[in-house]
Amino acid sequence: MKTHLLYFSLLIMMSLITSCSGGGGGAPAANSGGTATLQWSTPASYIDDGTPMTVAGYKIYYGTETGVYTDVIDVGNVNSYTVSGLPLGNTYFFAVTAYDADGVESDPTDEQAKTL
Amino acid sequence: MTEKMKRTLREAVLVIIISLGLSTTFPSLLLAANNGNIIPHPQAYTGQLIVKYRDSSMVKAAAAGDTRAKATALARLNTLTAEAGAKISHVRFMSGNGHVVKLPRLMTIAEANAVAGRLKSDPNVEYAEPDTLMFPMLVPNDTYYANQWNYMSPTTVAGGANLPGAWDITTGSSSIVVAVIDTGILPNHPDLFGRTVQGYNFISNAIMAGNGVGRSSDPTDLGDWVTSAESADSSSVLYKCTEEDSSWHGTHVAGTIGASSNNSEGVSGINWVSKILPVRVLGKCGGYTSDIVDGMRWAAGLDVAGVPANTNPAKVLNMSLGGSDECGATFQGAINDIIAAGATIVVAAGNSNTDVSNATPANCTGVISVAAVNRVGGRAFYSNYGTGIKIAAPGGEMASSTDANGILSTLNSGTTTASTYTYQYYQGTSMAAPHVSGIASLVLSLNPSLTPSQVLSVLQSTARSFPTGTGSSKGDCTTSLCGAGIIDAAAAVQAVPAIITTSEITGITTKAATGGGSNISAGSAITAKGICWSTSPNPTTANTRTSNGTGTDSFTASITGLSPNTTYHVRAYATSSAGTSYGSDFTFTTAPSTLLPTLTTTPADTISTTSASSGGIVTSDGGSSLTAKGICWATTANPTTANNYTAEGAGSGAFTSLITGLTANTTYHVRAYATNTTGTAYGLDQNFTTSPSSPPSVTTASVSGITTTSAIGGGNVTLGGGSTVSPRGVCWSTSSNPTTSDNCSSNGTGTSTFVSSITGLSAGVTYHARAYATNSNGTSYGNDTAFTTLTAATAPTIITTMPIKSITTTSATAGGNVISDGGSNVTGRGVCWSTSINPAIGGNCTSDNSGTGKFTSSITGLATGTQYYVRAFAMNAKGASYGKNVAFKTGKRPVKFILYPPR
Amino acid sequence: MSILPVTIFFSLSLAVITVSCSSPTSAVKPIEISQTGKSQQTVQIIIKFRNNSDPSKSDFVKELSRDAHAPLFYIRPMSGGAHVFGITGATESTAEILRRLRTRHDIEYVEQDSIMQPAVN
Repeated sequence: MKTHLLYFSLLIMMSLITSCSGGGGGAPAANSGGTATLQWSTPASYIDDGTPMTVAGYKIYYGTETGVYTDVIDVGNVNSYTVSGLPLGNTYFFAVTAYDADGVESDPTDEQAKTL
Repeated sequence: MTEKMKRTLREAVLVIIISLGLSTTFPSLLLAANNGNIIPHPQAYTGQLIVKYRDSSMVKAAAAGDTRAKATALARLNTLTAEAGAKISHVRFMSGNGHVVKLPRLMTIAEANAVAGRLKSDPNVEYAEPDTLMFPMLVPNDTYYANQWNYMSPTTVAGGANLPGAWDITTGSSSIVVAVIDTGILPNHPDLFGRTVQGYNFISNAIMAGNGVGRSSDPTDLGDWVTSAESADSSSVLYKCTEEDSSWHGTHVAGTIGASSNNSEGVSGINWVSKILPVRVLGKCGGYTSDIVDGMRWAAGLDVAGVPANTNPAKVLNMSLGGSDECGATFQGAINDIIAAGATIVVAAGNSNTDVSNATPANCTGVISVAAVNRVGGRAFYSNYGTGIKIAAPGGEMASSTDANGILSTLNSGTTTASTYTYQYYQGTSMAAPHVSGIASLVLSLNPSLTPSQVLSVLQSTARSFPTGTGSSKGDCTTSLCGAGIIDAAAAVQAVPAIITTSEITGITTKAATGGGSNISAGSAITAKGICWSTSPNPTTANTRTSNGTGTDSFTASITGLSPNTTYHVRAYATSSAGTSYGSDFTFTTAPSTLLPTLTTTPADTISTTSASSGGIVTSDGGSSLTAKGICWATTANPTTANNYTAEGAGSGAFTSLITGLTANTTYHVRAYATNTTGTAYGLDQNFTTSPSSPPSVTTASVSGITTTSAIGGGNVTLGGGSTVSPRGVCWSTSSNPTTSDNCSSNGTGTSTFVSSITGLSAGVTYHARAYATNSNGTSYGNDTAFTTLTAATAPTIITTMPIKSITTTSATAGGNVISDGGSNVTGRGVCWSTSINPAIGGNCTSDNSGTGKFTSSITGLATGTQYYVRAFAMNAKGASYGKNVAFKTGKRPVKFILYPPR
Repeated sequence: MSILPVTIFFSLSLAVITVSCSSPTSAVKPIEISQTGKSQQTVQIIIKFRNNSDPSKSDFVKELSRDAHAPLFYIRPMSGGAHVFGITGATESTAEILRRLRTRHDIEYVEQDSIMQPAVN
């Protein structure tokens, strides 16, 4: 009976862990390094002809050198995100693109920076 | 002349002479004349005082040329005049202190001292004393001397030639001869006897010569009378000649120049000692120019064909003759030759009362033309005149044939041939000229070296100014009419510059010699004399000189402070009021020095196995120039220049020498040497021992030129250690302190720098290198130096930049960042794209120049709505690298939006 | 006392004689050309030749005479290198003879051998 309980607790803990990591916009995965919380506006049209468009998702590009992005996170269709686990002591530069249902990306936003 | 007339004439002469004698105011004092040496008379006279002021500054300043001081001093003379009760006038300022002033007249010493005493009462005057003492002028005892106004001092007779003051200084010298170019002479006249030397008769025409033969060796005047019959005879050479009695002209002229003087009879002559050379060129009716010119040249000692040479050449030629003509080439040519031979020519101006420019040879260039003044110093009525006249002299002016205002001299009473010897007055420029000739001969007696122009200069510069208001019938003389002035014998002889003979140089050593001066004479006192010398010709008193007192005595002098083996010039000098004269320039050469140089040897230092440094100091060249010096060395004591030696040039002083090529561990001897004209001297023997031999010393050069497989090293062998250095080079290894067991280079031999190639290395590896040098004593190493070879090259490192930008339906912009060229130049870069992952070179790619750094590339011709992959690439010699794949999809892209500042 | 007037008389006479006897120093005796047109007087001239010709040679003297239009004869050589010639019985003046001789190129100078007098008065 005790063994069963142990196995059952373990199972519930593992699903919780799994469900946590499967969700978008959930709590930060780990607490090492610094974070940067970003917010952005929503594009509503195509630059080509100005016709309306619906955002399907965003990608956050970042790196430690201005204009040179070494990492990218597809964050889905949210307007803010907290990037975490950034090694401290650096300045990080961020830019965000938006994509539509076809997956065509916009030009990146103007760059923002945060020093950790 | 009739006997009665002669008697009357004699009586008239006697009357005149007696009256003249009584009227003489001049005291006649007996003095002995002794070839010009004066025996002073106790009764002296003076004409000047020296005044010394208590405050000497003004006179000193005046003497130095201060014009205000001069004016003040001269103004003081008015005070002195008032105090003296007699006119005191200025003579000169003395540089020492005194003011030389002139008394109104010649005074006895007693009278002069009285004046001086009155001046001393002036509070400014310290004292006054008589200046130049003039002893009573030499007065000859010739019977008719008192009749010879023409010789008297101007204080007595304005037209006098002022002989007595001259005779105080000289009465002539036997080395001077005066030629009388005239009618010949009466040699047995008692007042001319013994006063001549052998002359000659140059009259070519037998009739004119009066001897039936023409030229002969006998210059006796045979008389120049012309009878009326001769004058009327048209076949005679005397046709139309002036009828006249014999003139005995040459005798009269010769008497003025040099009659026997102070012989208690007859007249005085101007020159008492010098001899007369009678040259007969004038006879009956005169004389041809051709004969006169031959006579002139002969008189001066020049050759005349057919005539025996003149053994007594004359320094003065008197020519009391002439004609109305311009100066022809014949006369001028002879005059030029005679002046070049150094003889002075004196010519009577002529008696036509006309301009002398038409009277020859007085008008010829180079002669002293003489006009005549009368007793009062006015122009004689007959005398020629003009700017061509050089000087005036007494010629007399007679109202009758016995007028004592003529010139008294030796003559003969014979009207045709000679009979009784007499003394008679004549007038004429013929009489004036011999005064100048006689006084010129006194000047030359004092200084025979004077040239004709120097003689003229002495006479003219001392000639007296012509008196004015003489009342003469033809007026006063002026410098436009009668030359520079009235000849003044006393002033002329005082102005004669000194003459001195330089003595032979004796006793010549290396640094001294003995010289001197002799045969000194001058017209005024010798105030300084000595010798002067220099290494240049014609030294003067501005050069080194001696001072050997005053006076005319000969002297010897020491020449000192000379350098050996040097040529010097020496001249004796003598100074009088007329200036400084010099004797001939003599040269001599001092003896060469016989001393050797002295020197010391500098002890050896900076001694190594094969070399040392030494040298020497030459302390004396021994009196002659050093021609060589240096050091000599050997293994034996006292080396000489036969052994090894250095040459350090000529000249004294210190020097150093380097000795090389020695053997290690060996004792050497060294001596300095120096050579002069006497020989070679050595310093003391010094010895030293070279260092024992050892291994060489070497230093490592820094490594350069590093590549992936090689480098450049090197070294410097600084010491050979006493034996041949071989081999040498650089050793290297990956371990420190590599040795000759490791890899080494071999780069020559000996002591010097060398360069080494280090090869066969691996890239990116740290190596150690050391220079080495080996001799018979072993191997030495320099310091260890480390270096690292370059890393080998790889393909470049490249990143594909993201995101992909400017996406359209058919295009996009991608890019890359070449981070490193991997050690080899990036030759190409760009981006490749494909719908498949890992697009590569060979597919669709762009080309974006070369090199490192960021680049962007445009991708075109895409299909819309399609997923592509992009990779940046870069390539170098080592190959191509790609960045990561970045994917994108073509189509319409959303507008750019805003990212807010992060939190 | 008797001496005085005599003395005075003779002094005066002698003075007159002296004055009248005093000849001017000019002594060039011009050639007296006689009424017959020929002078018997001998004039002497001095000639200096440029080269060292021997003027004593008779041919040479004849040539000189021809050039001078006057009969020259050689007298003697002089010191200084000139020569004395004589002319007797010339029909022309000495000045004219000298002028003619001066045209000869071998003559350096030619002048009359003038007679000089003592310069006594």
